[in-house]
Amino acid sequence: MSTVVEAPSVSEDASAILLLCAMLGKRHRDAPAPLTVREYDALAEALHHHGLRPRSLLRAERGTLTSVAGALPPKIREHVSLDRLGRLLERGGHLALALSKWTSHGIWISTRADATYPSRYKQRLSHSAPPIVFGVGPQSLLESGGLAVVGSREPDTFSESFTRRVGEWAARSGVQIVSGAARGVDEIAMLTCAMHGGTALGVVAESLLRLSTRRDFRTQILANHLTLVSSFDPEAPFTTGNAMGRNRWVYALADRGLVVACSEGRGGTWAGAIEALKHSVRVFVKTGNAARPGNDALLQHGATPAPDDLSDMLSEAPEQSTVSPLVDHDIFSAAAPIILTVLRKPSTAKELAALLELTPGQVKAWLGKLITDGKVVKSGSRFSAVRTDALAEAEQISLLTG
Amino acid sequence: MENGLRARAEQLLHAALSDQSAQFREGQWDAITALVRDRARLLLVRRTGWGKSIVYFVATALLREAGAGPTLLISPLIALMRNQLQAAQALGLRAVTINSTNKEEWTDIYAALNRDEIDLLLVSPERLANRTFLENAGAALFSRLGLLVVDEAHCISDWGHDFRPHYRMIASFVRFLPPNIPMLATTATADDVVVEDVSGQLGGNVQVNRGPLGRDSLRLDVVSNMSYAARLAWLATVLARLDGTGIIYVLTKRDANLIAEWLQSQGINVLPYHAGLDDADRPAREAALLRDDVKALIATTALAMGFDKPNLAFVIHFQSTQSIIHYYQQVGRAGRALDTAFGIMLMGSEDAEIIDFFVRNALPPAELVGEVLEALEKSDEGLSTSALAGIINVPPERIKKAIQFLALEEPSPITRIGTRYNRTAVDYAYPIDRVDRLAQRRYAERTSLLEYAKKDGCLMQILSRALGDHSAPRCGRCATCVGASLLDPGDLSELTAKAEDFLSRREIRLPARRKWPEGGLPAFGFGSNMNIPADLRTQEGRALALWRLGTIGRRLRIEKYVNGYFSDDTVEAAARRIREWSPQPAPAWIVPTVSDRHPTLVPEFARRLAAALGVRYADGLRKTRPTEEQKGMQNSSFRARNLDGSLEVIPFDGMEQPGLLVDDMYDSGWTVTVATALLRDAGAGPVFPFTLSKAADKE
Repeated sequence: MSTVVEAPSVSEDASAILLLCAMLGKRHRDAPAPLTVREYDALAEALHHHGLRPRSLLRAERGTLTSVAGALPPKIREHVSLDRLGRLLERGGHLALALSKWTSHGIWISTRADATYPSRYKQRLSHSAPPIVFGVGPQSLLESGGLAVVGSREPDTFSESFTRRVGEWAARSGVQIVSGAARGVDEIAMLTCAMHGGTALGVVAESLLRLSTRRDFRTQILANHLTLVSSFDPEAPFTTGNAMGRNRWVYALADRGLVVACSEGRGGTWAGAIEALKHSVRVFVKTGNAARPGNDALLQHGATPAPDDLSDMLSEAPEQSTVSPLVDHDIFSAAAPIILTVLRKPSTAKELAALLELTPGQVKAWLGKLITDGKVVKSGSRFSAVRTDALAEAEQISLLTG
Repeated sequence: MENGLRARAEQLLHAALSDQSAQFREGQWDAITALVRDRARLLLVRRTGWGKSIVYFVATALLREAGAGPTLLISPLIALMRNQLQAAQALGLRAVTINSTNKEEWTDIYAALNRDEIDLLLVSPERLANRTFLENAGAALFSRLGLLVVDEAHCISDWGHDFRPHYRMIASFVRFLPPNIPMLATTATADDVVVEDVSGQLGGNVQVNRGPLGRDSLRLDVVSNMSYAARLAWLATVLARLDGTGIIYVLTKRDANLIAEWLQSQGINVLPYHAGLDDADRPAREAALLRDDVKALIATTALAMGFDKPNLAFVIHFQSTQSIIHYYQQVGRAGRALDTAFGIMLMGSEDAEIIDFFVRNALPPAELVGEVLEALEKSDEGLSTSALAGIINVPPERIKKAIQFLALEEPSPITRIGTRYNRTAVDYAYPIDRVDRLAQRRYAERTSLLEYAKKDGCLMQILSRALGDHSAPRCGRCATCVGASLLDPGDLSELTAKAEDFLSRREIRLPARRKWPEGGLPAFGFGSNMNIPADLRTQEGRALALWRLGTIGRRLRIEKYVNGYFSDDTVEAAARRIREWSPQPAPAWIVPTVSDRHPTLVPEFARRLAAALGVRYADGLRKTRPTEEQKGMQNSSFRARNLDGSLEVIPFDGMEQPGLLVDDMYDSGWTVTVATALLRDAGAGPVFPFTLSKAADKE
């Protein structure tokens, strides 16, 4: 009958990352500024270079800290002083207060050092992936992708009823809705889908703590139909900067986007869609007489008109040749050894695509990642596997296929 | 470096004790190095007086010298700790406290914290939940906490005898404290189970440092099989002979008041002490005992950890405690700085029932928790506790307990926003296993106390063992070791009879209710304004006896439930009591309350009482619809509303004069309050309630 509820806890790595990067409640005048994503990313690199983990900083002698800070790129070192690091890491009292409050509201915390960290953030945002994700609701939804639905906070009747249709369709088709969880289109899409038995993921820009207790949200969260996430402090007030900032996270967590109602050239919906398009995310936009003028304008930036049969969005999207960053982590791990085996003999991307029956875009994306990982090198237009890795991986693959 | 640290630590010790030859006690130095060098998490289980404060004072000084931030000391014993703060100054530490009694100093303290001029800050566990404190002290204290000290750490464990809800928050705070901040938890009373639980709640990884718990000066004894009145007689006799001053522990507020009154009537200078006293009275009474101005305080456990009087000569329990650990904790207050002190426990026949009540009500039952959650689930904007009391038929204090229980669950299914509680998005199942286990543990603890009361072995040894100290030798001073009762009062029969008489004659007041229940009584048209208008209120009333207590209290129960008729003796006793009371203006009539279940019981009695007093009898009230039994209504709102629209007044001649409203039992007081309001509204003069018995107030 009853379940033993484990008291919430965080790993030491997560503690260290929170100390370095989280605001931890209201910031007072003399408080050190938390590290930015770029600063943290550089620090993580420096730690890695020293064979250290974030948690090492909690027990580090001053000497270790000095040499880690010394390994930072000069531009970063200018701002990330030893003193700033020391003062950030001293904030353990603040951390404990904040975490006990947040976790008591059912908020979970996932940092870049945790296995639960959303793989889509890691892959798509890589160095700009937020160090911390706060959330309420099932964590597994972060791995389910789906359709990002964005639009006005004050939709007209046309947009509103279209959004509802999208929500119902998504629930029926098993497509998750990802949204900014704002009033209007975001919220309607998210809740309609969740209420019709689908799942939805809301990336909130303000007070996760308060939003998660809202009756309509919490009911869906408790039913495991909704997860709310944020990378801002769970008690952060609304700011336009935060609202804009989370757009990329919405698109990163989804497979494709759908813009319902958008003003031209301004506002979060517009900015978010443009940014997504820039990153080659497939973005659909609702068109038609009653649609807002901003919608048509998006078409000129590469958006696709939403098909009448919404399901057509599904069949179209994955084949998109320019979808470079949209690589599913698991397929990639499965595909990598195969690619590496093939690439023992250098080949062009086109040859590889033909051989593996993949779109060139897909192959390019995977090759890019393998190059970043140091497993493949490019010379001229040909790619080849780095020797040692390839051998090991090839043996694994022969076990699997043989 | 190790040697340098030790040398410096010894300097600090010498300064603290003003003794150049002082050495650390066994365990102290180990604890200090663990904190300062290893930034460890440490649980110190050491008896009171061992010197736990030396550990955290010296550790604070050493950490501060190494550049760490200030120490936060959390203790429920603010009053007691204040003396310790002065001791800290001997080490050159700047130690201060923030609590409700020194508001005028807060601004300066926050400023000093910001200038890094405070080495140690002492606060109560509740302060840690105070938003203003967190905001003001947050910048300087929590942004660079150097050491956390949690005093009385057994309060963290709900296995413990003294679980305090706010300690759950401390446990959670400690669990999330990163490993670069050392933590010291201290207690003098934790058995093996509690030690293990506390360590676990603090996130594991806790080193335990413990030592012997026996107390050399205490002489223990247990006295069983005495009636309430016999124990009153015993107390009066023994207190007159004992040297020094002490504490008499009782289970309820009512006992505290009643026993104090009895002892005063016997010329013994005592005062009651309980949570029902004014904020100003409690410290005043503690001070009276500290100055030996009173022989004893007759106290509930409200006189708990905060009280420290090293030369307390005796701790007598008028009733047994809930567990042997409670007993150790309470009796341990005696004789800290004396060669001899007495710890005597009287076993009462009523204890078991009262303790059973405490055990059963320690945690809110699943049904209540479910009802609270369901109500919150259904509300959009959340509900206040009083709004919940209007929905759920349970006393508000139990609703509050359920709320507190839920609020401190981790994660919690509810959260407070403003004055309202809201459901959170946390999936929740009532922890039936945990609650059952806890109840089992409470009954087992009670059994261990009953074992102690059998005196089958050295009492100090039994106590020490119960607390996990298995090496305690026989004390040689307790009743078992010396083979005789420690205090022999001689023949008590005459004084016992006097005590019986006292119990039967005591004046019991029935105060007037001043407010209508939440939502008012619409069918009667009462309660549009929350306050009951003065001209509709009852006068202060009287009851003849406390339910089931004393000769009359016991007799009433039999007369009501067995005979179904109140005897002439009872009528006579009631008439005598009313004459002694002589309410003014003098009542000219008597009206009985009416009941569906016992339609003649009270009227029958009231008629004879009117005759005995020579006043007019009138059936001035009539039921207009049947009601549920008031006993079945669990909270005040429900009791009041149960009566709404169920009564009407039958006007009678002379009703404009003052009169008596008679009932058999006074519990929530709603029956007489509502009947009085109706009578007054219909033109009656002032109404004095008189009931045969009054229910006990549990504390």
